[in-house]
Amino acid sequence: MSEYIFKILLFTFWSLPVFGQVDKFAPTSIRVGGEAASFGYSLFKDDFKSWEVEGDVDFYRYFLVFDWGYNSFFQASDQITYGYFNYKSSGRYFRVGPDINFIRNERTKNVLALGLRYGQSNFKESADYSTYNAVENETTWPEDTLSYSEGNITGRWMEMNASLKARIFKNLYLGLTIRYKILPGGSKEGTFQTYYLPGFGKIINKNNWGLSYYISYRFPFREKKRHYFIKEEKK
Amino acid sequence: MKIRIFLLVGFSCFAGLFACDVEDCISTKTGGLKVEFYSSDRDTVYLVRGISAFSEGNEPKIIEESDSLFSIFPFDLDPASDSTNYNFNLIVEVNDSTTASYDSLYFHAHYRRNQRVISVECGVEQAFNNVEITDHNFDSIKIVHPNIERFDTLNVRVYF
Repeated sequence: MSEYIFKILLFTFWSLPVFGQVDKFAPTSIRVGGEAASFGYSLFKDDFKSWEVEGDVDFYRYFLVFDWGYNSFFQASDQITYGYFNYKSSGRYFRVGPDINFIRNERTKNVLALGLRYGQSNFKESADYSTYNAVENETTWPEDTLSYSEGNITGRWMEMNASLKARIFKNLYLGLTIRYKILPGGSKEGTFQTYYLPGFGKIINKNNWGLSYYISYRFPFREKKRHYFIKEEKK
Repeated sequence: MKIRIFLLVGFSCFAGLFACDVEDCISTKTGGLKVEFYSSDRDTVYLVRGISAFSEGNEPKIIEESDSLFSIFPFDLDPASDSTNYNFNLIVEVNDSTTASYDSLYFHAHYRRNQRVISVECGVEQAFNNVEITDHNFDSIKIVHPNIERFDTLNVRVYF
């Protein structure tokens, strides 16, 4: 994990080679927010719970972004053709990585960015299912119940992100992040393949699309020198 | 106005992504180990006229002497265990007018089970992989396909 984080930090700061520009890259604010879409959706669902907080720090046109959240996914299905099937997965996750902002507006601090994320989830999952469901009733063996339960599982993935954050009022921002998630290998060792990885979503393929919708607030703690004012004074 | 457009585009994308979340409800896995019977000289495929297959805890799988001959028989592996024992009696057609009976044949199959959730609507599918015949009373056996697939024609050849 430390190797991933090191590479991401290296990517973030690869363009800071000049010591004289340190002031230019000094952070000026922290933006903290919450994910609204999944959280809102989970308020109306008994089988899905989700919350996520997001924070970023600016370094000139670069941001270091950190997300931390929780997902719980439960499905009890008695509608399937054969037997029955219950599944539950829940756990916490984080993402960390850099963004590069392509908008340079000192007044609004709006963001249109591309970025990378390393994601990691620690979760538990369990399943109960009928053997009739597992082999579609194509057996002469009597129906039996199979159970699977495992805790403290770790899943890792990478993301390529496109983000938009727009100021709507003073320091309040609305943000949209489109994620392309890539699962590098199997989610874990073992005979039962993970179906829902918190933070990543359903593992139907090795990659997955996601979308987050943020409401965030920017806390400025340092005003950057505005060079055009200095030029005016010289005149 | 900008904010309205932002909200509209955002929620449209969100709805669009959920709309694309369609899962395929098809399993290619099955638990029937398909066995073909050969003469010990490996030249002749036996056509089976009848079979009685028994496994402890299982419903016997019996095909009485039938007019339609077959050469491949699926032995259902225990979906709740990593191994299955079968005892079976076999009636094969030697030529057009002669049959031969083989009684008290047996084999012990060991395998690895892997489960995957297809979707919450379809449930879980179980794969039977790495099949090995660890004990038997045939002359010899050959594993053709150790991972059982629904559309496989054959998994094991038995010579006796």
